[in-house]
Amino acid sequence: MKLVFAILVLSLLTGESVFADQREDNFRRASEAYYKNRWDEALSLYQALLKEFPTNAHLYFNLGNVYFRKGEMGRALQHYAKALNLKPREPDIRANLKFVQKKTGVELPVPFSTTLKKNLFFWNSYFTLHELVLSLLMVAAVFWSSLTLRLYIKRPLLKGGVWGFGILLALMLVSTGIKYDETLARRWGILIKPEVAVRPAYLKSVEPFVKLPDGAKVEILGDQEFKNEEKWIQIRLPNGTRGWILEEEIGVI
Amino acid sequence: MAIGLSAPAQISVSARIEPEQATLEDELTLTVSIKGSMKGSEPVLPNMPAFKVIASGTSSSLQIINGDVESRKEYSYVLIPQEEGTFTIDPITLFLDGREYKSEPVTVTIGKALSQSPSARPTGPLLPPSGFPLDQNEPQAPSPPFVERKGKDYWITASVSKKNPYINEQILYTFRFYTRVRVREATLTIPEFKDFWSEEVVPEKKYYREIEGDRFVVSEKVIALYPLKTGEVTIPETVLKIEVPEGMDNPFFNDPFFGFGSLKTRPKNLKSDSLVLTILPLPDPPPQNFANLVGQFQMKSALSSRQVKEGETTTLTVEISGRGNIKDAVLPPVSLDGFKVYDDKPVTETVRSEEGILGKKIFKKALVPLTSGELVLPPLSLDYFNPMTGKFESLQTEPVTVSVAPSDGEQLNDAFSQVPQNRDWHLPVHEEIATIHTHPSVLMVREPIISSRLVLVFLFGIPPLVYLANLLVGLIRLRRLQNPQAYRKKRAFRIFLKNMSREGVHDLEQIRDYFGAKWGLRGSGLTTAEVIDRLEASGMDRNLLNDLRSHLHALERSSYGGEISTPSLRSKTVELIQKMERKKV
Repeated sequence: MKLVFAILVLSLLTGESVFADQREDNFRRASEAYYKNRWDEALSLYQALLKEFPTNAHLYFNLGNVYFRKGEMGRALQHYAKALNLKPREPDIRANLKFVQKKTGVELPVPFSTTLKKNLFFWNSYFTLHELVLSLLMVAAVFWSSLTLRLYIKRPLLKGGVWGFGILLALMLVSTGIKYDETLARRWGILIKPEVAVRPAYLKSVEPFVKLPDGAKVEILGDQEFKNEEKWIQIRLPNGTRGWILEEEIGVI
Repeated sequence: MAIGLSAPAQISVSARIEPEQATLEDELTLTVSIKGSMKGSEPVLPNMPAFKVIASGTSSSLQIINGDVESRKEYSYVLIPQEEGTFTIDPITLFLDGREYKSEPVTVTIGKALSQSPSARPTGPLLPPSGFPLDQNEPQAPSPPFVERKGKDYWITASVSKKNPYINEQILYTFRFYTRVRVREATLTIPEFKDFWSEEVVPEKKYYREIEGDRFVVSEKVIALYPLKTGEVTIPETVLKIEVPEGMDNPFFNDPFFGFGSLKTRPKNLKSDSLVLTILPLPDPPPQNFANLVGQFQMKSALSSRQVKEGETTTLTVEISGRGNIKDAVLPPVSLDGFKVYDDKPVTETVRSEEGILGKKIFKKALVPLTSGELVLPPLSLDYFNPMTGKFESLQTEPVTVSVAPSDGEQLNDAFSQVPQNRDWHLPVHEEIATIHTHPSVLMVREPIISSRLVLVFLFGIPPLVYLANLLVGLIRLRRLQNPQAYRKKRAFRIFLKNMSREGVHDLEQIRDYFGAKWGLRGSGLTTAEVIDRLEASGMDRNLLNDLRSHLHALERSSYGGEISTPSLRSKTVELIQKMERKKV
């Protein structure tokens, strides 16, 4: 009874800290399990932590490593990709993602327009949408301010500034638009099962037109329940081909 | 329609078989007719060991001829002959209303599986079986085996490449279907290779072949078999069920233009002979590095880098290739002291060819030297059994020396330093991937995510609104500067009212200023007469003009008297100017 009372008092005094300590302890236990090759234990602990910290890139990264150790390359790539979405400049995440991509050797044909967009707006892969939007906001503020100042002060320097910021704003607007399209407007997934059969219809009896390896990144278009048993996901391959796969074969990023 | 049925007709059971003369390849139809009754249980068939019996349905009919009712029910059965000879099918029994009815026995003769006599051969063009596309330009099959036709138009064969293979040795089971007539609905039943591990080599290949002067289409299927047990094993017969047209002796019906059309077909069951094989055991005892690999193989190894730094990775690749049970290949054990070893999942690649399944299995090991200096990778040894020589043979790779330079002392990954050192678990010296993030502080990192679009719209919207407001103000000012008279005219009444609300201003002065602003003149320069004249010239309402005139005179009198204005005069002034404003002076 005294112990319960003591914990209660401690909790009241310290607020959240008791729970925070517990989470830190779980985090340490997960790391310990990882280093002792107890992958399943590490997995469940990290997953439980992820429920409390759903936007923590490090947890996604660690989960990616656990899946890599378990030999589930598709799942590993999925979690690295999630981590990279949150922390695109983190070198460990980039390195591991690149390593696993190389290891799986998955490379689907990409249309020229995608490659062009990727090369023209190369910086997009180093920034989150949040960062791009904030930058856009700042550039927009500077642009409109300089434009407003220009109403009162007619200096050539200010005119040049207005033009410069105007071009920068237009560029950033397109860049942020592309990033928005890639991250929020569209849904992406990574195939997590080996040899995923892509069918033209959501029926197992229909012959697949292609089989894709785990780790392949595809766009998710929609879903379809079938006979209340199977859930099918419609995907679009990088070359534009559409097909259906089972829900358990893809991990959303 | 009501039909009054009179007394039932006499009940009788009859049986007929079609055709009464057939071969082992034919399917026969046994029809049992029950006349005089539509009810009752199914007839009881006698024991027919020479046939496989399959029920194929019932039919019934009712006829009224000259008031006599005749009912008939027929039961049909397919009989597949299992042996040659003349067989009598015993009477078929029907039990009805406690009575027993029997048919007459029927006799059938089953001959050898000789499909067609040469005289019955069609002369129409040769066509492949339907559903089996055939390239007309396809070359003849390479080195075809000798085939004896024996006057047939279609037949099947099944053979194995070796009758006495060793256990785990790859042999080829080949099924061939020869035909020179159009065939419909070919259904192949390959036996279950229960004593073998099997893998399809050639799913289906078609080619032409000249046999005894006639051109045949040959459909071929090849399966690789790996015996799983020693001793005598039997591969059961392969069965091909086909539909061939009746009346094949008439070339018209086999014409490709007509196809089958509504032509009646006849089912045929073609059977190959069962094959008996003797599986030989491998010599005993097997060598030390033997792991059930049987065939002809090669082995080679390569190292991605022979000069590495301590803690860096080099990859050892071992490739075992050849013909045989390559999937069973395992990497021979090797002592890799001085290295930390990470095994990769082996990859198997196979090629299916006429000779069977060829392939290679690639093993990869990531090696991380734990110490600096010259480290030697010992040779790898692998033993396999070669069925061609009947002996065990050995493969060996060359030893490889790796030069390991000392580490430059840098941490491979900062993340390692975050791992608490007092933990009792063992940390790997190196990982090929950046290791997990372990510092508890990373747990508190929350990446900002844009959650409110409304806030964004607000933030993005404010600067342009500020700009637009300023632009508007600027435009107004500009307009004022560009046309001050118009601005003065527009604001004349507002300024008049504003001034009139003040104390100590002269009404007359304000009226002059008002009209001055309206007409673009200096107000102080206008006299009362000028104001009246101008208003009169502009076509002002007469009554209003008279009121204004008298009011202006009153104000002048008051002004000359030293008064500024009385409240009544002031309100009258405002009222009159308001009316003027409404009349758009």
